[in-house]
Amino acid sequence: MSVQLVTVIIDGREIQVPRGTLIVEAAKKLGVEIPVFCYHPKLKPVGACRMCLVDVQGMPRLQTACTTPVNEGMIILTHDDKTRAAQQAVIEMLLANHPLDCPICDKGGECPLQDNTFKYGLGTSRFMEGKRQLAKALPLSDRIVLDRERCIMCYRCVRFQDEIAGDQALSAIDRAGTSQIGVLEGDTFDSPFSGNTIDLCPVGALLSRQYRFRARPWDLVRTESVCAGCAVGCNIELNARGSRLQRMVPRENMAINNEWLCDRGRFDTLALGVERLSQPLVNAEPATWPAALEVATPLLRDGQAEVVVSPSLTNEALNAARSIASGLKASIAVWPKKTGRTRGSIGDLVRSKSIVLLDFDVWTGLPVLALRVREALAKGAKLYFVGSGANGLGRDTTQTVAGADALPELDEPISILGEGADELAERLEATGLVGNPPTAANGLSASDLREARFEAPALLLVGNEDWPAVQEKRVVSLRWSPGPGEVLLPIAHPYEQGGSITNLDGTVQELRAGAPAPGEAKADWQALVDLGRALGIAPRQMEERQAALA
Amino acid sequence: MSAPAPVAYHPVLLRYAGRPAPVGLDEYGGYGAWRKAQELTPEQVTEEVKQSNLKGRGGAAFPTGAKWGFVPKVDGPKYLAVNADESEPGTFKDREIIETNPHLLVEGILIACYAFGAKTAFVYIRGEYHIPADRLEAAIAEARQAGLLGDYEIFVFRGAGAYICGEETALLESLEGRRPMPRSRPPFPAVEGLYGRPTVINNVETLANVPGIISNGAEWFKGIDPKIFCLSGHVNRPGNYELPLGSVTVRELIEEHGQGVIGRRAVKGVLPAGASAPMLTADQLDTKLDYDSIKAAGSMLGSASLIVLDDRVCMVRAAARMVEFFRKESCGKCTPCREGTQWLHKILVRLEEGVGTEGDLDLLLSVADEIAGKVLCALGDFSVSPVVATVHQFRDEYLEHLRLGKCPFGSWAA
Repeated sequence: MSVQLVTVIIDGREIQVPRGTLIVEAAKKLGVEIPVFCYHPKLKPVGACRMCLVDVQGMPRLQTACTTPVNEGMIILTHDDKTRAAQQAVIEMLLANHPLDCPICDKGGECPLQDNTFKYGLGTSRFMEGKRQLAKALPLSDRIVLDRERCIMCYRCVRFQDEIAGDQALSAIDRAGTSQIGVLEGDTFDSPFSGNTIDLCPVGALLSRQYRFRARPWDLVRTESVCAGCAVGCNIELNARGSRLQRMVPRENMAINNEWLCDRGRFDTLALGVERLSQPLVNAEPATWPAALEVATPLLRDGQAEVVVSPSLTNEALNAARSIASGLKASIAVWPKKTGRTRGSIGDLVRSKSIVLLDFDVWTGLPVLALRVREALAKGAKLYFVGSGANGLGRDTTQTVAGADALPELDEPISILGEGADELAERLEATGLVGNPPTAANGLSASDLREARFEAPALLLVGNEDWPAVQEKRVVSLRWSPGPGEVLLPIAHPYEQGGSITNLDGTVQELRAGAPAPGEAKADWQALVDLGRALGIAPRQMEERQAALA
Repeated sequence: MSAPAPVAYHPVLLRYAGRPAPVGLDEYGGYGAWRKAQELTPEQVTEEVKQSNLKGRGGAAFPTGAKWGFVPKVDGPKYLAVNADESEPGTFKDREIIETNPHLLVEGILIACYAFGAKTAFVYIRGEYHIPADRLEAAIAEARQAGLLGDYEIFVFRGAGAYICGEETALLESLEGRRPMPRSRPPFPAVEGLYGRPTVINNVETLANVPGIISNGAEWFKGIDPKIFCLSGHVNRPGNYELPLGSVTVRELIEEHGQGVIGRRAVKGVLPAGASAPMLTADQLDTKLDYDSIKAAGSMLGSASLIVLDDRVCMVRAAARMVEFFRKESCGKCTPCREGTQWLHKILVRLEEGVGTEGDLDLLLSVADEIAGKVLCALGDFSVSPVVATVHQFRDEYLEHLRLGKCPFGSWAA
C-alpha cells in the first residue's frame, strides 16, 4: 500500500509525512511540542480545549493542530507571537475557574495543566472574581472520585468510555459554564475499565480512591513490571512510596495491552490492605525458615505427596515445583485450571477481520483483550458469539449463533477463542489468534498439568490460591496471605519479586520487584529452591530439569 | 436620499401572512416548481440557483447554489438538514413562513434534494415551535397523500431548546441523538455530515426562496431578492416585513413599516442580527438593509433580525444582557467560549453596577480578544462582537457609570 507523502514546513523546518497526518503529529516527528489537553493519540480528536492553536500560513484564523490535517506545502508556525498569545489566552481561561489547589492535588507534579501553565502560560491571572465552587471529591464509584472544580472539560474520559471501552459509562452533563462530567442520576461509574480515565485526565479531576492522598509523584519509586491479574500480561509501572506499593499505571505495549489496564488488574491485584504472611508458621506458631523446612521435609518425603501449583506462579517457580515433584516421585497438578494454549498473537487478533468467541466471555475473562477485540472491530472486523453464555461484548457482537455450524461465511483472517477453537480453526483455516486461552497470569506455562484432585495424603501447595477445603495436617503451603496448612512458608507477592511469566500468546515477560517483600517472605522460586535443598533435591537436579524443559 | 417606499412589492415568502390557518395544498397550487425542476437535470437546477445569487438566509449568507455544488457525486445516502431552529434572539421569520405557507418549504426541500441527490430531508425545528411543527407535518402528509413526495422522505425533528442547535454541525449532532456540540471542520458537512454522509444544511427562508427561482427564473429573483426583516424592540409595530434586499434603509424600516419608535423617542441603537453582530448607532440609520451595506457600516445583516433600542436603554446593561445570553447558551465544548463568556459577563456586571475601574474596559477588550478567532464555532465570536462595539461606540456611557458609581439609567434590578 503506497502512502502519499506531503512536505510541510513547521517552524522553518521541513518534513515529509503521509497525507492526512494531523499537524500535531507531524510536529511531534520534528520534535516540536505543540501543547494539548483534549487531544490524545488514542482518541478521536475533538478540538475542544483550543490549547493547540497554531498559525497556518494563508489561513485567516489560527487552526487547532489536533484536528487539522497537513496539506502539501503547508507552512505552520507554532511559536510566533500570534500563537503564543493564543496559548497564553487559553491557559488564562482554563485557570480562571480552576482552583489551583495543586499542593493538595494528587495530580500535582504529573499534571499537564500544571506543566503547560509553566511552559506556555503568562504566570499571572487577571481573573479577580470568585471561582466556581462545587463539592470536592464527588464519589463516582467505589474506585473513583471526581473533583468538578478542577475539570477542564477535555472530554478525554467521556471519549475513552465511548470509543475504547464502548460502554459510554460517563457523559457530559449540563452546558456552558456549568458543564460537568458525570453519570446518570442514581447511577455509578460502573465500567471494568474506569481506572484508565484517571491516567487520561489531564488535571486532578478524576482520581483513584485507592491512591488519593497516598503519595506525591516525585516521591514515587517507579519499577517496570507486568500485571499478574490475568493471562493478557499487561505492561505496568509499579509505583511505591518508601517500601509500600501505592498504585500501578499502564505502560504502552502495542503487542499486548496498547496502553490500557482493567480495573481488576489495576486496583485489586495490588492487594493493598490485605493481611500478609511475613514469616513461616508451623501449626500456626511462628517459626524460622530452617525450623519450618525441618518440619516440612518429612511430611512431604514420607507420604505419597502431591504437588499442586497455582497457574499464577513465575516460570522459575513452576520449574522448581516440577523438579521437586520429580525428585519426590510425586505427581504434580494445577489448580484452578485456568490454563490453556493458543497459537498466533494478540497482534494477529487485532488484525483479524472475523473474531469468533466460542461461549467465551472475553470481557470478563481477559478484559484488556476485549479492548483489543474492539480495536479490530473499529477497523471493520466482525464479532461472532457461539453459545448462550454471558457475553460482555454483546453490544459489539455482529451475530450470536447457537452452534458453530450456524456461522455465516467469515472474512479472513479469522481469530477463534474458546473451547473447541482448534477444531473449528482447522475447518475454517483460521490464521489469527486461535485457542482456548488461559485466564490465569501464567496459565499457558501450566497448561500441560492436569487439574488437582487434592486426594493425596500429603500436599505441597504453591501459590496464593483459595484452595478447596484442605485439611490442616500434612499440608505444606507457600503463600503470601494467611491460609490453612501445617507448615506455611511466606512467599513474595508477584509485585515484590523478579521472575518471568508467559502470557496467553506466549510472550515471556519479566516481573520486577516494585517494593520489598515483607518480613521473611521470599520470591516464589527462591522459596521452592530452598525447600528443594532441604528435601535433598540438589540444585543441579533442578538445573537439569530446567535444561530438559528448554 | 431615501429610496421610494416599495409599495408595489408583493411578498413571495409571506404571501399568506396574517391568516389564522396555513394554506392548504389546493390553494397553494400544484407544486409547479417541483414539477418543472424534475424536468431539468439536477445540475441545471443547481445552476439556476447559482445564477440567482441566492445567499443563505440563516445568517452566514453563503451562496446556496455553491453549497449544493460542493456535495460530492458519490453513491450512497446524502441528506438535507433544514435548519428551523431559529434560535437567534429577535428572529421569527421561519416560524411565520412555516405557520402560514408550509408547502412553500416542502416544495423547496424537494427541489433542493433533487438538485444534489438527497432522498431524505430532516427538518430540525426548535421545540417551542409546536404549532409550526404540527402544520409542517400536516403539509408533508398532505403532499405525500397527493403523491408529490415520490420516493423522497421528509422528517420533522423537534429540538429541545438550545441556541447552539442552530449551529449547523451542532444541529447534526443533535439530530444524531447526541449532545449538541459543534464539530470541528474539516471534514465539512458537504463531505461528511449527518451519519457521516454528505449533507447540506439550509435555512428555512433559503429553501422557501427556491421554488420561486425555479418557477420564475434566476433573473426574476435577482430583480427582487426577497428578504424577511424581523423587526422588534422599541417600535410601534414589530413584526416580519418581507422586502427586496437593499430596498429600504434601517430608518425606513423602522419609520414606515414599524410605524416609528414607541412614544416617538429617539433611536439609540439597532441590533441588525439579533445578539450576534455589533450595534448600528443613531448616526447609521440611513444604512441600506443589504449584506454589503451593513457590512460596510461595521456590522452584519446575519438573520436580519433588527432589535431597536431607544434612548432610555443603558448600553452597558444591554451588553451585559447579550453576554449573559451567550454565557448561558455556550455549549461549553471549547475553552475560550465557555470560560470567556462567563468572565465577560462578570466584568460587565461590575461595570454596570458602577463598581468597576477604567482598567476593566481594557480588560473587557482584552478578554474579548482572547475569545475572538480562537473558538470552535461562530457562537464565541458572536458573543464578543456586540460587546466590543459598545465599548467603542458608548465609551462615555461606560465611564459615566464609573464616575457615578452606579448606572445612570436606574438600578440594575429595575
